[in-house]
Amino acid sequence: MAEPLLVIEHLSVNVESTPILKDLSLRVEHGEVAAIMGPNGSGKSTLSKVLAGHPSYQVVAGTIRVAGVDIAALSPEERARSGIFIGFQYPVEVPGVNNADFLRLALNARRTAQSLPELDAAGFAPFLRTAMERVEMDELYKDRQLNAGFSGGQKKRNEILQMVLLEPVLAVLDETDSGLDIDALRVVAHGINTFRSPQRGLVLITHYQRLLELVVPDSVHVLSGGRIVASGRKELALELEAKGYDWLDKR
Amino acid sequence: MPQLAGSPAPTSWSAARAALSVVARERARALGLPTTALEDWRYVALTALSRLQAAAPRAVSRDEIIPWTVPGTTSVVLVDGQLRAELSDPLPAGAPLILCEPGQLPEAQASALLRRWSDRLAGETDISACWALADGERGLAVQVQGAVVQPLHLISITSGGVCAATVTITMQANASVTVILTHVPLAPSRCSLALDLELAAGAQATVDELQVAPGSDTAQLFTVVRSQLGRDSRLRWTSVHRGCALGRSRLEALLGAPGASVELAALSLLRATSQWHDLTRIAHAVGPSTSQQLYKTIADDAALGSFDGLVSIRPGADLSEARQRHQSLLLSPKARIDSRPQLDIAADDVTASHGSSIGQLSADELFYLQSRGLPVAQARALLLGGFVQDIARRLSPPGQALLARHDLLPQHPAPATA
Repeated sequence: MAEPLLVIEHLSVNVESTPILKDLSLRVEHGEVAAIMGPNGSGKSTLSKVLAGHPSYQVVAGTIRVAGVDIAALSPEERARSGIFIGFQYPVEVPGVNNADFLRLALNARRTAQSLPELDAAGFAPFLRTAMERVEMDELYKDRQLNAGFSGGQKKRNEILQMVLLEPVLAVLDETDSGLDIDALRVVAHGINTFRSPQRGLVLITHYQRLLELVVPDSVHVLSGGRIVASGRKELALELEAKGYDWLDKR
Repeated sequence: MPQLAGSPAPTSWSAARAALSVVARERARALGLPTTALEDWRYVALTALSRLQAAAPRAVSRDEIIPWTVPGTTSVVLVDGQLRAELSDPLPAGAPLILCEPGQLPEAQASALLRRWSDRLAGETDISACWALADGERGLAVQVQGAVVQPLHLISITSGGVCAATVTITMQANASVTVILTHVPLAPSRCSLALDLELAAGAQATVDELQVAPGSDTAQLFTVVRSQLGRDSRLRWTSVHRGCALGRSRLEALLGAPGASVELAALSLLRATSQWHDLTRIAHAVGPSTSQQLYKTIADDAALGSFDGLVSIRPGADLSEARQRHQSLLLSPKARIDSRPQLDIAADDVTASHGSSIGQLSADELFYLQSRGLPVAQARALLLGGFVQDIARRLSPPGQALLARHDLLPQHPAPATA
C-alpha cells in the first residue's frame, strides 16, 4: 500500500529556542482535503512555515515526508519545485517585481523540475489567462507589482492563482479565508475545489467553519498547544463552531 | 544650419581661453586638494586621489567607439575632453542644432561664455570644476534652437592621463532635446576626467538627459553639472553609474523662473572597492517651481557610496514643490553608504519632503520567492531588478538599449535557469 502523500511524525519545532510544535503527527492521503483548525497561537502558521522550509523555524525532532521523500534537507525552492505549495497568511509585497514575470519564473522553475520546457512570455500568456479566469482575477493584476498595493483579498486571490498555475501535489493554505468578503471567499473556494484531484492533497488551515462550508474537508484536525489534540470528520468542524475550542480542553 | 564644426578657433579665443585656464589653476591651488574635513567631500575616500597611476593618452580608433554607439542616436565623440568631429556622426539634415568647440562659437557668444566662466571661477568652491575649466580647453558647445528629434549621444572617451572637458548646452525657448552622455574609460582605464557641464534652458525648453558611467576599478571621474532653468522649462536627468576608483557628481539646478521643473533620478551600482558620490544642490529661486529627486544606491563587497542633497527654497519662492528621496541597499557587511538629504526652506507656502532609507534585501521577500521555486541567486537578481525598476523605466529606448548592451542594470526578470 502506498504511503500517504504527507506524513508528519513526532515533529517538534522551535523558534528562537521556544518550542512551538511539540511531537506533532499528521497524515494526509492522496486526494484528501484535511482541515487544520485551532485557536490563536496554537502553531498552525508555524506548521505551514516549517513545511515551506522557512529558515527561522528549527526542526528539533521528527520527520516530514511528502510523497515518500524526507524533505528535511530540501531548501525552500527545492520543496516548491518538487510540488509543495504554501499559500501564506500574509503574502509579502515585492515592489518593482512584475507579477506576470514572477509567475512565469515560478512556473518555469516547476516545469524544469518536471522536465518540461520553459515558457517564454508568449508561451506563458495562455497559461496565465486560463488560471486568472479560474480564480476570476482581473487581467490588470498581471501587470501590477507583485502583491504591492493589493487589498488583502487580492493578495489571497493571487496566492490561489499561483496554486492553480503551479499545480502542486501538496498545497497548504494558511488562513486563505481571512480578510475575504463573501464573494471573494466563494471565488477562492471555487479555485480550491477545482484544484482537488485524486493525485493531490490539500491542507486547509483555518479558524472558521465558513470556508469549510464551501470546501468540504475529508478530515478535520485540531491543533492546540503545538499538538494535534483531536481529529475527526467534517462534523468536528461544526462541533467546534458551536462549542468553541474551550470545549476540547474541558473534555 | 546644422553644424559639427572642425575649423580651428580664432587666435583671440585661444589666448583668452589660456588666460582663463591660468585663473582656474590659481583658483584650484587656492582651494587646495579636497579633504574630508570639507562638508562637500566628507563621504569620499580621498586616498584614491593620490593612487592614480595614469596611463599615457593614446590614439583611439572608430572601432573602439562603435560598441558604445546606439542606433537611432547621433554620436558626438569627445576623446580626452576634445571634440573629435572625424569620429562623430554627421548631424541629421535639418536638425535645429549647432555643435562645435566653444572657441568656434560666434564671437559674442564665445566672449559671453568666457565671462561667465571667469565670474564662476571667482567664487568657485568645487575644485573639480576648477580642474575642468583649467584643462578642458577644447570641449563642446551645443546650441539647441528647436525640437531635436534624434537623441544626441555624447560619448566621452578617456584614453589615459588626467583629462578635463567642458560641455555647454544652451537651449533656446521652446527647444527640446534628449542627450545621452556616456563616459567610457578605455583600457587600461588608468585615467582621470574632470567634466564641467553647463546647461541653460530657455522658456519652455525641455531636456531629457541620461548620464551613463559603465564603471572601472582604476579610473576616476568628477563631474560638475550646473543648470539654469527658465520659465516653464524642464530638465529630466537620469544617471546610471557602476562606480569607479573615485567618482563624484555634483549637480546644481537653479529654478530661476516660474514653472521651472527638474526631475533627477540616479542609480549607483557599486561593487568591489569602487565608489560613487552624488551631491545635489537644488535652488528654488522663484515659485511655483518643482524639483523631484530619486537617488538609489546598491553597494556590494567593499564599495562606498553616498548621497548628499540639499534643496533650498528661497524667500518668496512660494508654491514650490520639492521631493527628495534616497534609497539604498547594502549587500555586504563591508560596503558603506552615507545619506544626507536636506531641506532649507525660507518660503511660507511650499510642499516639501525628504527621506532616506538604507537596508538589505528583505529576507521575507527572498523567502517568498524561494517558496515559489526560485533559487536564491535568481530571487536576489529579481529583487535587485525590482529595486531599480522605477529608474529603469524612466529611460528612453536608446538609453535602455545602451544599458542592456553593456549589461549595466540588474537583469529583470532574471532567466529561469540562473
